[in-house]
Amino acid sequence: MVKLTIDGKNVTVAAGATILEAAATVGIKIPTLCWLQKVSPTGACRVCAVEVEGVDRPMTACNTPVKEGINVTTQSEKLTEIRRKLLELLLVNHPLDCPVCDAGGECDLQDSCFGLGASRQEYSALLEKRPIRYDWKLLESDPNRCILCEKCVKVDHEIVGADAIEVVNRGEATIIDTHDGAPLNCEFCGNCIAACPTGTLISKPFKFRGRPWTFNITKSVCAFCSAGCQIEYHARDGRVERVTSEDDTYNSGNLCINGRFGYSAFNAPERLIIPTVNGAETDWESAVSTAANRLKGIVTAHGPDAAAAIASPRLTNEENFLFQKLMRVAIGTNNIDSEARFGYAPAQALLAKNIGLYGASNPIDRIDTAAAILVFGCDLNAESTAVEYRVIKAATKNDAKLVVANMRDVKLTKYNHGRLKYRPGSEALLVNGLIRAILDAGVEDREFIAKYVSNLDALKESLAGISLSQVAEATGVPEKDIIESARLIAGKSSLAIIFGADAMRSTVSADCIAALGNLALVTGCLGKEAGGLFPIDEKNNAQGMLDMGVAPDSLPGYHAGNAAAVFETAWGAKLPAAPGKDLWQIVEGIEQGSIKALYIAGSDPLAAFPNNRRIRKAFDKLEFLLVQDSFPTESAKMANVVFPASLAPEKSGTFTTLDHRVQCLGKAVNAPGLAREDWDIFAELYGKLAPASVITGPEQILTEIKALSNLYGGECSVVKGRCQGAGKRGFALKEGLSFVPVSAKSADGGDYQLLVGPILYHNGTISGWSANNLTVAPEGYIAIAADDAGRLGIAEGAAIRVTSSAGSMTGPARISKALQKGLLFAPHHFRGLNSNALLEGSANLVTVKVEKG
Amino acid sequence: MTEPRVFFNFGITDDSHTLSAYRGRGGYQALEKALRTMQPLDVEKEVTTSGLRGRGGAGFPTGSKWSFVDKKSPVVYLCCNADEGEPGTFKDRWIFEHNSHQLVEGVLLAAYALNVRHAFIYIRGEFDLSYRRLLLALEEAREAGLVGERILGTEFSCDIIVHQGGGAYVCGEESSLLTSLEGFKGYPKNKPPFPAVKGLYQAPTVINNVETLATIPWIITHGGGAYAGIGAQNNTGTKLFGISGHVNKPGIHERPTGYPLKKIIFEDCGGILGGKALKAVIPGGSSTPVLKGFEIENVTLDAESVIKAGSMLGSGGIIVIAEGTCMVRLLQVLTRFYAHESCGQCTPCREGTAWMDKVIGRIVAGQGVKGDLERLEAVTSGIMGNTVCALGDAASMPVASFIKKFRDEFEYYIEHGRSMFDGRLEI
Repeated sequence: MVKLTIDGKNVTVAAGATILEAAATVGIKIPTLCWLQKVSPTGACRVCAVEVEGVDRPMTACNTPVKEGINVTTQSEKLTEIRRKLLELLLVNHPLDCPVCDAGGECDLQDSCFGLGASRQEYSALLEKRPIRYDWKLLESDPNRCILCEKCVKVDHEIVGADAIEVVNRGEATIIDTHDGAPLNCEFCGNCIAACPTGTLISKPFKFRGRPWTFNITKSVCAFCSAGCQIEYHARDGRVERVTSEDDTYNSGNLCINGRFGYSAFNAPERLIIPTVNGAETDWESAVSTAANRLKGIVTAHGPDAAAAIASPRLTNEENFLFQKLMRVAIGTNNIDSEARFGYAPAQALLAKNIGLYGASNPIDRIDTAAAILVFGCDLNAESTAVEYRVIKAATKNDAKLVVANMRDVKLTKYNHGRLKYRPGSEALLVNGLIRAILDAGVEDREFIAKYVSNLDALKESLAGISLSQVAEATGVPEKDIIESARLIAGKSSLAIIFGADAMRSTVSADCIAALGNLALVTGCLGKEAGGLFPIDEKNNAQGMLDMGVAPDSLPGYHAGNAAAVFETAWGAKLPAAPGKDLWQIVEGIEQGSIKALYIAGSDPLAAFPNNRRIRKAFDKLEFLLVQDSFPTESAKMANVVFPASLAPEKSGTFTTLDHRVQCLGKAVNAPGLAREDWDIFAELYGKLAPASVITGPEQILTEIKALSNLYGGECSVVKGRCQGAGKRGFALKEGLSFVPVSAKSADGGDYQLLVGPILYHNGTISGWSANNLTVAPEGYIAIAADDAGRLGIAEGAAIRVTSSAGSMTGPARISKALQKGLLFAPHHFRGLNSNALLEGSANLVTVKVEKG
Repeated sequence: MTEPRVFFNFGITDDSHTLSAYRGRGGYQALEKALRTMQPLDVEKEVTTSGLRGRGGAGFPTGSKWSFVDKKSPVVYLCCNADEGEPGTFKDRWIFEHNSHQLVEGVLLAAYALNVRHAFIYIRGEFDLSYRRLLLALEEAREAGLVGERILGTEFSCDIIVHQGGGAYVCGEESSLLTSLEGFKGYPKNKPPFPAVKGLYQAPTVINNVETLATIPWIITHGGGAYAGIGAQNNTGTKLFGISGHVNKPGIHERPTGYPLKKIIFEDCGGILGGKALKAVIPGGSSTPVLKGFEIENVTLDAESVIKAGSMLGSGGIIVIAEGTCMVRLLQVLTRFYAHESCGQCTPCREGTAWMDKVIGRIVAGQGVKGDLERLEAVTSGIMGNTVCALGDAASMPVASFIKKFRDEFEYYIEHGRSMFDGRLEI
């Protein structure tokens, strides 16, 4: 600790702290312009100048470390004069166009000039006009307004890692621009807009939408990926006009393109606003009655198991809870499932069985401080950008060792220390190879294993049949890389293992997840302060949905049938005894005619689910299809009854992040037209099917959830008007765990395999309705390795036709360096391309034929 | 000449820059001596004893600079600052062109003293012959086993890496030299941390000027005490002075420190061109404050004396200005240079240098307005001491001193819209 004096106050701070930080601890605020806590100090604006006794020149508080015994003055006539002069110098080149500047009213330069009394352009002379960049997508840059604080560049480089903008030129001609002057080509996260203290970098869609102080600001939670970033909706006249995030949030104010710009989906002109019955617009009364009568009719005629439901990770916890209750109590069937069936739900079930783990084992901010990180089968950039920012922070600022195991090159590979580029289908074998290498090197966490795991010998024995040379042969990863990566991740004080769709939806997913569980135990990454095991789902409330019992075999809180009595008492109803059908069994049931009615809320199986040509054929056989959605989806087009539903900013309730933070939504606007909140629709239908029930709102449902599920106990903690999440259900590590026997099948594909997955610029299919996202990524494409493209004579942008046993698609080719030979990739967001149709089942990989289109 | 010479101690011929010529005059014997008979700390001690001060401009005692470095650090870097760009300064170029080996030997001795495995020479991009001569010298030295692995058969190994600058004046500032060397845009860094603690690639780093390093072989050969006996007491040794401007014989002169400034101008350089009177002298490179002719009467060429006169010895680039020169237009040349070379990182320098240039430009264009001089003074006081690096100070000092000392000329120019000294100086 270091002792010093600031403005006569005694201050004690840790060595290495800056004068600015030290001053803040005793409530002394030193003015700053270029300082931004979350990035490295720049020290360029010089506004934070302070006097240090004995030093002849003023020192910048933002980057001068404290020293024992120094005496600092932060306010004096001399300093005020220096600061005022600096602002006058900044003003000389600054156009006074505040009346038409988007930042007017939230501009640090305005505030500073006002605060320091810099009220005129002292050195007035001719302004040099610099061209405004109108040719960028989503962003606009007016260098004339720039004060060169470099915050945008630092956020871009240090946090996002896109390296898209630079400080170019020198001296007075210095501006912020792309390094080559070409139009901006980046991740379009807009974090630079948020960092900009003036109106230099602004959001195009927000431009001229209104003065900042005229909006209603509602604190809420992002409704795209599963990281649950804390945001603010700025709304006026029933429209969300922009989304921001403050720097003191859990996510440090960092968002991705979906979080910051995806809001235009909420305002999409295609939104469903009127209920329809058989395609005809009607009122709610007749729509709900029709649905209730049809459902009742089918249940009466064929029994409750003739009905089934597909819920959605987009719905709130309360809505999902009510949905499963509706199916189980009001209709009387366990036939409810969701798209989590393709990967997240079975993976969670496996890890729950083997390790007792549901979701992530630690909050995601523990990734920041992990000593090592393994990102396995996950393109974090697309699956959860917020988590990727944390990995970048850990690897670049906290010296974490990063190993990236992915069949493709992803953004994180530029930061990795170890790289495992494996052959598609060899995921499980690769993990077992890593475990083998860890055990061979003797770097397993012996203390952890001795305490928690019983059968290390059994694991060693079952690994005996796997040699690293075999693994290298089958995975295509050189043996030395496996050994090197094993050393990088094991034997460290903490390790974060992050895995995603390529693991959970692998062709050998069960083996892969089991092996990842073993790896977590071998490396002892569980139950520590830092690191942990983190499954990543692309959608925001996958974890909450499963917590709510949206699965044929589990009640809310993962209670199985034997706990039914508690629920029966609480609900005053008998729960269905027959086991429910999971998603694929529901599809089969429809095909076989045993399921005649299907209720879908917030999902579009015909575009977002794999093998959806099969599903479409099945839907043709349905007697009754009820779709509750916000958009005219493919499924809604086939529906007998359509309920227009609301989206995240239009409802209250809670979302659960992948790491169990249960955060309250803030209702920013009302749903458009006649659209209603999903819980409200479920409640009304419930009332029609089981008249005894009265549901008043999400609060009441949450109380019931807390009482019945043993999850989400406790009150929300609210800090500065923002919900920080209800009492978390932390992961409690139990003793007596065992390694799972090793199975290391490796799936063999043909010459070409197609990987279907998300890309950065979209999230699920909802962003497909967002004009902002579509500006950047308007249509689907099929990425192909350069080698393959050359051999097949396919040029960039030329049509390419890909066919699997389940279907085929034609789209423009994109020649990619990220892909290995024989691998193709197609994004799954685009209804036009419908790449999901080629997948044969839950796996995100399929053997295909490729030809010119 | 009876004075000892560190640099001008050989006749320049077509091959006097080669290794064999250098060895012929005793070259690399200091290195032999150090590697075979001295411990690294002994080398540092000799340099400390010599009283040698950095020749780049700031004049910081070299021995003391070296002593700040933790030699036990796993990596220590040495950078030779050869980005000689200060207007009026051209001494390092002479060393490169005529005796690169002397610098190479100096670098090796410093590297030995500081436990450096990799030394860098950051050479100004515009230097062509210098660069070629340096590469030639390094090639010769490598072949002779003087650079690289196990130098002269000893345990000491050191590689010298040459990096050409991209043409930015600011990269001669030591911290921006390091950022540039690391591959980034040449932005100065905020200090602390100082390079001796966290410099190149975050390792402790010593940055020395070419002339400073090239002096070290002499010190090792003759002893620090001998060097300390030369020249002025607190600023010992000999120094290269580059005299330019309105003198009859401009050029480089090696003189012991403490040598009279007047003598070097009027005797060694043959006096003012055309027998004109001396109007002013900029004594240490363009950034040092200007001295009026009469002010140099008793000035000697050592730090203390020049400071007493109100300026700085700087890099030893003496710019002589004859009577009849328009100081307003001269100042414009200087401010245009600094505005052009400001890196643009920090506010006061970026905005301030550009505005000083614009205001002086408008005075020169005959459009100056009353209050411009006060405005300029206000800007200089806003820049000085408030910038990341010294470029802001370097740009402000000439402006402040020119206006202070030649205010009547500036006022005349503003009032009449033309110079007190129209036309070209007849020389």
